[in-house]
Amino acid sequence: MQNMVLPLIVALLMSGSSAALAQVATTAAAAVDPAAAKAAAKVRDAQVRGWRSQYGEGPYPDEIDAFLQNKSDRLKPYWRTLLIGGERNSVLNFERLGMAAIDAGEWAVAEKSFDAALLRIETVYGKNAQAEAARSLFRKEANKDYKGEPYERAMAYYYRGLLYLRRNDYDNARASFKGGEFQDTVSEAEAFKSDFAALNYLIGWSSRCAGDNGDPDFAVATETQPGLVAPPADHNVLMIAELGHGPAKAHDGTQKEKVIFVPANGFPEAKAMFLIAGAKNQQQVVEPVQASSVYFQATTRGGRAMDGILDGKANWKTGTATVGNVAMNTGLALMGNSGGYGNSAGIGAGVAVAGMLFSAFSSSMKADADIRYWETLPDNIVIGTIRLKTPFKAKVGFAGADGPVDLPQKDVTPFDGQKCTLVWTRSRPVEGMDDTPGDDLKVRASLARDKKLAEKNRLFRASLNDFVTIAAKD
Amino acid sequence: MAKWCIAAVALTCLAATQPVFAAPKRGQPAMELDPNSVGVVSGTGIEMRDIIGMADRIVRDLLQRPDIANAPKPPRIILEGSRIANKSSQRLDTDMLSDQLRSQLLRAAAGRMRFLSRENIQDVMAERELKREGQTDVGTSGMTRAPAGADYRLVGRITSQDARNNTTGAQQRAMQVIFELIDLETSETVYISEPYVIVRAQRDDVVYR
Repeated sequence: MQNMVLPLIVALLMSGSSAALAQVATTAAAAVDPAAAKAAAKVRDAQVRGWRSQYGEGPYPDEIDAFLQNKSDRLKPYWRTLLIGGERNSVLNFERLGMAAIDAGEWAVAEKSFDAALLRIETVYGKNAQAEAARSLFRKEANKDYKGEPYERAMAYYYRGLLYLRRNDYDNARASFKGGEFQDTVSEAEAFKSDFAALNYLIGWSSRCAGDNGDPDFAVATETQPGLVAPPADHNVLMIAELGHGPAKAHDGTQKEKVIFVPANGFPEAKAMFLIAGAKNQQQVVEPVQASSVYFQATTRGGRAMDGILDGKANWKTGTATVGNVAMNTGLALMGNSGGYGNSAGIGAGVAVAGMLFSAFSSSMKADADIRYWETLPDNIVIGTIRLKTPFKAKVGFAGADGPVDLPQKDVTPFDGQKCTLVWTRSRPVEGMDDTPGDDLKVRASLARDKKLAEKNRLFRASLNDFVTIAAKD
Repeated sequence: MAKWCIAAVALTCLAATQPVFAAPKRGQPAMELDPNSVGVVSGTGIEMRDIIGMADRIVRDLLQRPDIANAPKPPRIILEGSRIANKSSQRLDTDMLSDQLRSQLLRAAAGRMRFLSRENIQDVMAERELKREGQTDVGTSGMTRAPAGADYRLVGRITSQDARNNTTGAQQRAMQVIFELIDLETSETVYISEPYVIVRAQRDDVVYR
């Protein structure tokens, strides 16, 4: 009987409901030993009370351990961050999990992760408390659910598209790449609208593989990206290599109201070379050309509509702080000059108090921009094509401007299709951070105590169990 | 007192007219929704109500065609999701469309049209071989010289056009779905559906623009 009750307790631990736990404890108590079960429930309640000050409404350490039990070691850190990050960070953490899953070859998890991320990216927030909070003068932008900047959203579509290409589902691959390209149209600067050449190229490739005319999309891609050429009509193998690391986000401005994109350093690779061994061991070398730079995409968007709101907040904050300081100094000066007696002293005290109020008002305003970012993105995407009769073997090597770089040459498994084959790799393994990158810990701690959000997160965590079950079936 | 009563009645009426999910303060257990109507969550793409709606239209169209629905010999039609080309920007499982269509047509036609499965042809061929090798009996309907040939194939195409106004943040998607019945002997298009067109727009919160 104990064996039957334990999994139930574990499942409910994962659902994060202490009320449900108490219920199970009671049920188990009736079946096992009422006194022992009651004592266990009491211990658990005390434990949760202790954890609540540190972890808010959860998830608690034992729930996290139970959730991670059946996950691969490679992906455990990403699952953990996803579970802890809750709904607010779910888009980012699904993207990170999806990318790590690609790296680990856990394809079903990767597909479901990007589906989950895109579902949320495509959700329109008509009236949402967190979005409203992000606009509030007294709350930080990081209160909102993360959807990412257009370049990050576009990359989520890019990866989902490649996952479809891998399965030879060319229609949905094309739909995904088109979705990414549409995200790229969110640009204030006309000159930069829809300049993500890799996506246009991949729309063309998907169309061609589906038996349609991809030429118009290849034309857009080659026009946008110098050096990129449309593949000859008989080419059937697409080779993609992702190089380096994408940009990080950081604060700028006097009130941290601006987001700047910091290019990643420490990766010299600028080129990839595919070594192909075909039938009869014939060797060929294919050097793909640059199709897009993620850093370029991040920095050429122009302003965000949100920037206007944050600028307004920053101006208010700076203005009220200045008024407060001036009033305080003037008030104190008046009080000093009057020797602390008479009307001047009274006026001075009043002005100083008003100044203090302004300063307090100013410091309660929050203009900080949201700098959560997808840290596992690559920088450059290089693309090449070739005509080959499958099967063949592929290796990839990397080089910088000054010659070969210190990265091992590695085998790449081609994903064969009837019409088209995909060879897809990256120069460096996916190594994400241990926590949601760029998250505001104060905002997170404050939201962890919010009962409404706790309920939303409880539902989110429960949905992750379904997610895992579905991914495991595929 | 009368004023209070009127106010109470007005408030009750107002509350009753609010959508079920208007105040998302509490959770909502799973509930049944009408698949023909706008769901609790809707977007700018094709939804279940569209799939049912377009299948319904095509069924009506085809059943009104005497050369198809009242032919002396019921025509044989192939209808598969893999031949519904999704060229749109919406990721979509086209089997949802073909399954809905095949199901509605098969049931409504009541034998006036017959549908062939090419998706399961390997199973068919394997079973035929077992019968012919004597490893199974011949079944109850006997054997034929070859699997049935088709007269028509119903094919479809989904296309879309997306637009965005970066000043207002509004996004608009127009989608069009067309079905054609192709004569597999002559290549003639014997039927084309009225274009099923949806144009929907939405606008995300300014914090995401």
